[in-house]
Amino acid sequence: MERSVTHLGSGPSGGTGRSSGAAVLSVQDLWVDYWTPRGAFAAVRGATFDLHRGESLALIGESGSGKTTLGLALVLLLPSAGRLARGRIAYQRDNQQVDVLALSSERLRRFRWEECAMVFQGAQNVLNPVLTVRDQFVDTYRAHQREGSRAIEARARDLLRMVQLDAERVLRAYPHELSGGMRQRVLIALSLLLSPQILILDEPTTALDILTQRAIIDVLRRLKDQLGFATIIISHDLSLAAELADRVATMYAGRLVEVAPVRKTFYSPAHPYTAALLDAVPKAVGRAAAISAIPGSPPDLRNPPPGCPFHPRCAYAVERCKQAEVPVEPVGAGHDVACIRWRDLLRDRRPRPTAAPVS
Amino acid sequence: MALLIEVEHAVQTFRTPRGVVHALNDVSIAIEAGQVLCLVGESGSGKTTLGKLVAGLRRPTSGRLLFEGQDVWKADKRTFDAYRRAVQIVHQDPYASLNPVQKVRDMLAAPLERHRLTRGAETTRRIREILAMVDLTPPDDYIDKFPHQLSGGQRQRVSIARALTLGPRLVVADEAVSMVDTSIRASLLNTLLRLRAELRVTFLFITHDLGIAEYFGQSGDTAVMYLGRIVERAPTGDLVANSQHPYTRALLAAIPEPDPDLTRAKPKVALRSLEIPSLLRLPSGCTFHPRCPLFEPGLCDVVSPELVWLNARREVACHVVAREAGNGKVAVAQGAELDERLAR
Repeated sequence: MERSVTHLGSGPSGGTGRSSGAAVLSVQDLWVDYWTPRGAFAAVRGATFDLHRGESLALIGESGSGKTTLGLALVLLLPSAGRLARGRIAYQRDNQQVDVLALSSERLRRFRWEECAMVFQGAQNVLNPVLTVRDQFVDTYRAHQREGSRAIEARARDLLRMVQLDAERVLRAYPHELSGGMRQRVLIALSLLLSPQILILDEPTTALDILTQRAIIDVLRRLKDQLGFATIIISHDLSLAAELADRVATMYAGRLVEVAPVRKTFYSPAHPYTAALLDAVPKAVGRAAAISAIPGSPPDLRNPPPGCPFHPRCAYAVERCKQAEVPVEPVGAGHDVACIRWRDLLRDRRPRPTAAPVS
Repeated sequence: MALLIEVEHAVQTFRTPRGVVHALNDVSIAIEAGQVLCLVGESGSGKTTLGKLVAGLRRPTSGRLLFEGQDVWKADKRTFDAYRRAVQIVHQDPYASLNPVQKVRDMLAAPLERHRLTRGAETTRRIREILAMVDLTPPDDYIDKFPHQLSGGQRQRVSIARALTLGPRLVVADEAVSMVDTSIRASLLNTLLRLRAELRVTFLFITHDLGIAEYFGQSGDTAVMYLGRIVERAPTGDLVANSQHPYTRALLAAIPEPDPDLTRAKPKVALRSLEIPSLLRLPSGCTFHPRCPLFEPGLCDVVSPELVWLNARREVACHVVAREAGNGKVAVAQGAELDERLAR
C-alpha cells in the first residue's frame, strides 16, 4: 500500500517507509458530508491515519469537531443525513487486506461485530430492556450464525468476569436492574464477544461518576492487555486519553490537526489548539494553577474560515494561516502536525519535566 | 465574619412508589459572608438537594435554614422575600433553564421591574451593565437574542446574568460549568472568580469535579458528600493535599488527570465493592462501609460516625480515622502509609 509522507499520523515513523503490516486499519483522505435544512457541510475533512495492532488511539476534540462522525464512518454507520463522500478505509487481518467500503451489506454486518466493534455514546441505554443479559449475548451470537450455546455461555461468563462483574447475577438480570456503570461494562463485554481486532469506544466514561469512570478505565486497560485488541477512544476528556492512549489524534473543525505519541501530545504539543486545550483544564488535582480560556468559539462548518480553521482563535496565527490550506508536517517519530508555526510553539513551550506522582 | 447562611441538621426524604429516598441525612453547613464553600460528590450524594435547600427552592423534611441568623421557614413574609432576593441559583443546564421564547432583554428585565429596581430606559442601561459584567460584550450584540441564537457558553453567561439582576448576596452554582466544552469552561470559571472578587458575592459551588472545586474554591472550604452526608470538610487546598476520609482518598485516587505519567502512576484505592448502594436502602452504620477498605466489622456497620474535628481545620466522619487521630497516628500516617493501607 502506498502512502504519501505528508499524511498525518500514518505511522510511528511519521509516515515514511514503514510497512503497513502493523496496521489493522488504514484510513486515507476520508471525507464525510452532512445534509441539513440549512445547507450541506463537511464534518470530517480528509482524515488520514493508521491504527496499529493492539494500539490505543485517542481521538480528542470538542463538540462539533467531527470525532464521533469519524468513528461512525469507520464502521459505516453514519446517520441518514451523512454521506461518506471520499476516501479509503483498509482493514487488515491475517495479512489479507479488506477494502471496507467495497464490502457487501452482509459482509459489512459481520465486519462490524467480528472485526471492528463499536460501543456508542450513551450506550448504557441501548441494551434491549425486555431481554436478560444472557439473552442479549445469545442473540448477538446467533445473529452471527455461530453455533453452540454452551460455548457462548462460557465466553460470556469469562468476559463478564474480566469486566469485574458478578457473572451469574448479571447474566440473569434485566438492564434496568443494573447501574449505568454496570451496563457500560456489560456492553464492553458484549462488544468483545466475537473477538474483534478493533474496539471503538465513543465517550465511554462521559456522564459516569468518578469511581465508575475509574472502574471502566481499569477494566479497559486490563482487557486490552489480556486480549490484545486495538482501540479507538473518542472523547472530549483529555484525561481519558492520558490514561489509555498510546497515540492521540486531535480534531478541530473536522480535521485531524495533530497526531502524536501520548507523551508528546501532553508534554510537547506542536499544534496551538492542542496546547490551548491543555492550558484550559486544571493541571491535576493538588496542583492548582491558572487555566486560560481559548478565545472565540469553534467555527460554523457551513462557512469555515479560509486557511487553517483555528486561525481566528490562535495566538500564533499569521497572515499566511488565513490564506492557504495548511500542509501536514512531520515533527518527529510518529508525530505529525498541521501548523506552519509548530517550531515556534515548541520553542515557547519547553517540555515540562516528567511529573512525579502526588502523594 | 458573620455567618450568612446556616443549614442545621437538615434531613430530606422523598416518598416514591418504591419507598422512601433518603436524600439528606443530618447535614449541617455554614458559610461566612464573602466566602465560598464547594460541595463535591457523585450522583446521589445529595449535593444538588442541599443546594436547592439553601436556595429556598425546597423546604427540608426536618432541620433549619438560617439566613443572617433568621430561621427562613419561620420568618415573616418580608424577611422571607428579602432572603429569596438575596439568594440566587445558577443551574447546570442552560438549555433547560432559559425560556426559549424570551429574548435576553426580557429575561433580565422581568426580575428588575418586578422588584421595582429599575424602570424603562434605566432597565436597559442596567441590563447592559450586567451583560458586560458576565463578559457578554458588547452587550448590544446579545441583548435582543433568543437562547437558540447563543452558544452553550453564552447561554450559561445569560443564566449567571439573570442570577445577578437582583444583586444577590449568595449564589448557589449547581454544576454551572459542567455542560460546556473545555475551551469555554475556563473562561466561564474565570468570569465567576472575577465576579466573586468584584461583587464580594458568597458562593455555594456544587460540582462532581474535585479539580474544578480546587480551582474555584482555592480560598474557601470544600465539603465531600456521600449518600446524603458530609464525610469530610476542610480548607480546599488542605482537603486535596492531605485527605483523610477513605471515600475522599478513593475519589482523589480515581480521578483521571490530563497528564499521562502522573495519572498512570496514581496510587490505587482498592474499594471492596464498585457498586453504590441504593438511597432506598442505605447501609447500616457508616453508609460507606460496604465499599470501604478500612471497614471494621462490628463497628462501621453498626454505628454511624459523626463528623468530628480532627484538627483545627478538618472535620472527618470516620471511626477508624478519628480513633487513629486520637492516638496521634495521623501526624505520622499521612500520605504513603495510608495509601498503602488503602491499596492492600
